[in-house]
Amino acid sequence: MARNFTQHSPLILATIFLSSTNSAKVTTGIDEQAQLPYWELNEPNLSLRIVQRLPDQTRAYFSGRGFNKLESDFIASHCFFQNIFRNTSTATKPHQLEYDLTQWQINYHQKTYSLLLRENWQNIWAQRDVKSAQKIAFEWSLLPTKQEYLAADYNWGMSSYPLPHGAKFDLKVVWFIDGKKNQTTISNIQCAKDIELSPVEE
Amino acid sequence: MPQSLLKHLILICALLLPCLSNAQSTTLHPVKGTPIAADFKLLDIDDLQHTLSDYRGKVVILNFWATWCPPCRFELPSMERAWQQIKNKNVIMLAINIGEDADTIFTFTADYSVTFPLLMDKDSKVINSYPVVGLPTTYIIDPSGNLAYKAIGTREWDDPKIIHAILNLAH
Repeated sequence: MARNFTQHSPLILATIFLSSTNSAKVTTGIDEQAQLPYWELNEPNLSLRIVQRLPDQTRAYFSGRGFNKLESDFIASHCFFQNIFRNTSTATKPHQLEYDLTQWQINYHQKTYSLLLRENWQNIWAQRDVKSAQKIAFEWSLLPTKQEYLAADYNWGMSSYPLPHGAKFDLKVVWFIDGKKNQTTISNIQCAKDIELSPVEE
Repeated sequence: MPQSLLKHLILICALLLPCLSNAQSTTLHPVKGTPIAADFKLLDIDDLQHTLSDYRGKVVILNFWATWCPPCRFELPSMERAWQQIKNKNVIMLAINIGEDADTIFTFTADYSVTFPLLMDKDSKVINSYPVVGLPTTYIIDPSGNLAYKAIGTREWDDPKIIHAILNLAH
């Protein structure tokens, strides 16, 4: 862990400046594993890192889960992020963290939208020709709609947004600590742009 | 570096360190009311059937996972190390894979070699009979078949505190 901290200290130092000017304690940078932009919210007992996913990554991931090309392309036409949600309280000072994604809100071009949740995708899959194994893999790959974390609990999961590639938006994040509601807005999150390859001219 | 900035850096680092140290957690949470664990019959990747109720009298470590789940992969090595310590001490470890087939899991074990049974919940019926919403989630079931502890996310399963809690249930 000390090695990781030292390795990434330039990034951490860069984000410290951001956090010092932002009351919501949101930091941004490049995720060391994904090598893609992240937005991270650190509040008492909560850490949430939202990492951009390239459409090609999403396409390849779901293709690897058995989705055919048509469905992989369909999924990848949506905006996806990877999320790491963590209860940062300790066993000696435990607190319960809860969230409910139905309370989160996207603000894009002066309009509000909801996230595309597991339940929304179930409805989508009901109208498309997708096998049961693929639906199961998709459902469990997504961040749970509601979750309770006790001290040191955490999960990874994808979140999906009804926005075009490259869209910049604000996200209202709502969470509960020991039943008490908290909320903040993470500004200027950006969906990854798709990579469009064109033939090389000789 | 100005002293005020240095103080600021130290303060922020102090705030960040607990987040980093939580990456290898050793905390198990008691399950309220210790409800009975839902029984199931599942095949493992060697085609052997496992029935949960057959393990009554032993502590069962019941882990829900998938090969594509990064935190699930993180904890497999520590699960194997823990298994080597406790497998002869009235404990069984069952890792239930969600939605994948034997070939996929078998290929995966070339990189993540484990010796405890890897069960297959292909239609996700078993996981849906437990209060699980994300992977990995692990339950520790006591010898009477009740859910005693729960952990959401990766744990260092061979940490002495966790081993101690498991063996305490076993005896």
